[in-house]
Amino acid sequence: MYDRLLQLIKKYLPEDQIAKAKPESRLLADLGMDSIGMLMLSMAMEDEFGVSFDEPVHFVTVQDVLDFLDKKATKR
Amino acid sequence: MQKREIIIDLLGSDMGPEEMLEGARMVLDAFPGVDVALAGPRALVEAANLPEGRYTILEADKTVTNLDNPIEAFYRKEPVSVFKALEEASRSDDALGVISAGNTGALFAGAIRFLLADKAVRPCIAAILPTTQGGFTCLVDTGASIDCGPAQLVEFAHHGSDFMRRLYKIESPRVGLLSNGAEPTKGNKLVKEAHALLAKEEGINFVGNIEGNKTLSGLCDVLVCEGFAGNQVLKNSEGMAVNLITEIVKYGKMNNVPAVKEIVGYLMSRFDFASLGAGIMLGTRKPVLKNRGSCRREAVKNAAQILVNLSDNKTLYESIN
Repeated sequence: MYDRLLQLIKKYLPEDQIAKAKPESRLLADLGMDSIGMLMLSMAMEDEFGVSFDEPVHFVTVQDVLDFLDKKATKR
Repeated sequence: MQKREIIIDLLGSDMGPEEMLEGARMVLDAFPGVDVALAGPRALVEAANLPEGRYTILEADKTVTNLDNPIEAFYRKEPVSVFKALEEASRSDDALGVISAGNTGALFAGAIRFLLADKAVRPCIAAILPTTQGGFTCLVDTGASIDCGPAQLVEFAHHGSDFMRRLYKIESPRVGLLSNGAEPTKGNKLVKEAHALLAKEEGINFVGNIEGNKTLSGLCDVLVCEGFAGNQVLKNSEGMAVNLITEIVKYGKMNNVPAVKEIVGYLMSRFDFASLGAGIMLGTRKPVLKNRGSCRREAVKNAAQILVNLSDNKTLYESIN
């Protein structure tokens, strides 16, 4: 799941940050993702992992996203 | 004949929903074959006495203010006008597009949520700037993506070229890259890398770097830059136009020059951003037009003209002149 997520996250990162993405990386502070990138990532996660967002979810790190998917993903 | 409908978000404008409603009335007067769907409070729309059978109401009485987080606003339980409008556009085959003067972040986020054309390609916001050649340049991006990579600028070039092809019938739109010098060696890291990519990009008619003082010279049909710079270009151009017109009016009054009135009238028709200005979201399945918060009713009608032209595949230039 981590590899699939990483591939997805990379689509929405600034190009010069792609190589830096690790589980402990903070999406906004370390990887330069912005709120629109987060929105597009969450939509892509709905398709890829079958999750749904009924309320705002605040992800700080890549690991936070992984933890969320561990609990909520319906497509693994 | 298929019904055609323009969706207008009534809330969020600095001038109040009444001005947007009057804009909707102008749309109905100007385009007999086009109806409107109005996202806003039912009572307000019903009190406006719009022509019967020409409008529908998308009932919503909440908006997203500049103090709200636009993305968190999605999850509100009560209906938000801008999201109602965008949802309707995604659902309805009759909808030509959406016009809003509300919170840009909410409109952009909502357009992504409901109307994104390709989930891997980030949309952008373009502005159409009048040039001294009598035509227009599509400036892209004007603030949706403040920090960009070079590949994103290439995507903007494609979005802008496609738009200019459709709206102005320019077969091979000339694409320029905003820089601090015309030579390919000029620019920061982003611009130099983007220059190299654009020069070899298929389907892009790249004409090189464009300097800030040439943005309105008509040297290119699409001017590409990251959102931070694009926003500065847009606002600086608007500010400069207002300052020049103000100076001309002052001079005319001080020296009693009657011709000034005619000159100012012409300049206002070309550069009055409160009437003309609409940012256009590119990369969505249907056009989404953002009027400035302080826009007047004419701006709603002018935005509708763009939607009708895109739908009719007419050029905007033909219809304005």
